[in-house]
Amino acid sequence: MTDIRRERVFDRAVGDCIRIGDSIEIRVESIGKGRVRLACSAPAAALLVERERIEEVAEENRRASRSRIPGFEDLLALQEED
Amino acid sequence: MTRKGRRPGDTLWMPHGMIGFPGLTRYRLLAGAPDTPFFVLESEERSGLRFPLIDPAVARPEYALHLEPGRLDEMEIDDPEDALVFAVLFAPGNAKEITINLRAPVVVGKKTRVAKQILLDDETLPVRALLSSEFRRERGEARLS
Repeated sequence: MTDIRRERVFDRAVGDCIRIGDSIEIRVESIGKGRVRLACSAPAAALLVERERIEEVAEENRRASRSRIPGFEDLLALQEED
Repeated sequence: MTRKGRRPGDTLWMPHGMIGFPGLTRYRLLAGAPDTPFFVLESEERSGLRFPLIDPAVARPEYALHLEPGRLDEMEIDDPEDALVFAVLFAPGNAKEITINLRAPVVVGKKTRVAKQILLDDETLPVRALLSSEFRRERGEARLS
């Protein structure tokens, strides 16, 4: 699957919105010192989260994949048998 | 139910893969060893890639309520009874150090055989909680083997 992306930069004021596709909307709620508060709405099935949360879970998954537990080891031993 | 898990029909399809493991979309869900609450999600495409899972209800009976309505839409799960929910574990070899990821459960559609790891919005749910603390919290009878 090709993934052709594009990026646009917008100048927006408090209360203004940006629309992404047919159903995703991002509104500027407030602006502070070096920070901006955004309200994002998207279809319920969509992931709506800070990007660093995804990296946090990815790291936790990598850790999980290095697991060793008694039940786990026993199960793997069972599997190797066939 | 056989424990061998080699039948082709057992393949789970994860269109988005596990978070951080894109492109790996075929897994098998294996029941844990007898008398443990553990399961294993095993990649069919990358040898040795395995994620230990647990039924999160063992730690938090009310956990399924955290699933936000609508998050399962694309999985075509109409009946919540058709969904199996698992939490990913990190288990370093010492039961006391096992951690459970309550923020990003793996949901499996029993009928569709489609699975997805869902990152929940609820910021109070920990990515890395000590399973032993969770058990204490619930005063649980569940045992770590």
